[in-house]
Amino acid sequence: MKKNKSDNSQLNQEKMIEKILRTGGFVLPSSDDEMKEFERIYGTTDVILPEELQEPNFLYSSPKKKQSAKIKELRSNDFAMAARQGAENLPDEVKKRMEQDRRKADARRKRKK
Amino acid sequence: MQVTLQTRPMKICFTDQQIIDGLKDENDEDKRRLLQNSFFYNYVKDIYKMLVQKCKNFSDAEQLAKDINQETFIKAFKGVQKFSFPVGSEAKNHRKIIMKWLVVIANNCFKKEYAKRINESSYDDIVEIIGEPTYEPFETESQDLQIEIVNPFRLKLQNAFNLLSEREKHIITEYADEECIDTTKHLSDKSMKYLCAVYETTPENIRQIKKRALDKIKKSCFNADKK
Repeated sequence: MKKNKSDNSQLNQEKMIEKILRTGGFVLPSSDDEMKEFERIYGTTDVILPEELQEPNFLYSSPKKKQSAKIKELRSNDFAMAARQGAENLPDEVKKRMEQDRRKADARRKRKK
Repeated sequence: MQVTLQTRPMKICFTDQQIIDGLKDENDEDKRRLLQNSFFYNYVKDIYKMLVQKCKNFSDAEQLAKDINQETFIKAFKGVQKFSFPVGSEAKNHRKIIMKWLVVIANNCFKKEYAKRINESSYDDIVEIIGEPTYEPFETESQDLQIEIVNPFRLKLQNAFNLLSEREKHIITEYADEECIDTTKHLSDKSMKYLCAVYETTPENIRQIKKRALDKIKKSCFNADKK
């Protein structure tokens, strides 16, 4: 009996957490009720659109290749040029990156088998 | 005769039905652009507001929200041929219906965009796993919405969330997205595959990370009350 009470309590806690995650903006609201709740919490918060979203110009311009802030920009041209010039001329950074990519590709190939 | 060029399109009020029907049929580039702009101005703020809240718990939040917002509208216009209002739906509900459609697309874009930031080398595999957004026009009720949530608890959860690593936050929100937070339910195969690909790990490890994150949240939100 005690264990059931404890299980129910855990379940209720988890449901409460889930509800807030779904209505509090942690997850995009998907049902009518969630949207209503999101609107109730954040409806009066005014949003200032950043410059890139003030106008829909991005819809009509050619797509720019976005670089992830985390990953350094190492264009594939660098590798091709480095390969032509020979491995001993590669900067350490490029060598390290090539090695990492090779290891990841090998791991992926092994997983697929 | 002098012709004045307008740098900003005139705001003409179209109904949602007119915009959707027009986007599906319109071949005239200028008219099409007018409809797209109308649609954009009608929905950009609401979608951006949701994305700001969603992305704030992740690094590079502002850029992430901007990128996903742009991708969402690009994808929406590409996929508008497949969208339609449910038969018999009233005009007063059209905004709600479009918002839900855009949210499905935004969610799909988030998964891809965030995965690219975490694991660019596996991005192509991940995109294949996620696929294109699928939209169901029918209302799906969430479970147990009768639970009343008070503001202080919401703040507690945000504080608890701030204690998690970014990986834990991502995994927990994926579970919450599928209403699988409670331990009796399992994440869909597709979502599990997605998380495993992003973090290059096993399903068992994903479950462990989720459990640890959930325990941290519970400890912070509920055990603190017991003191």
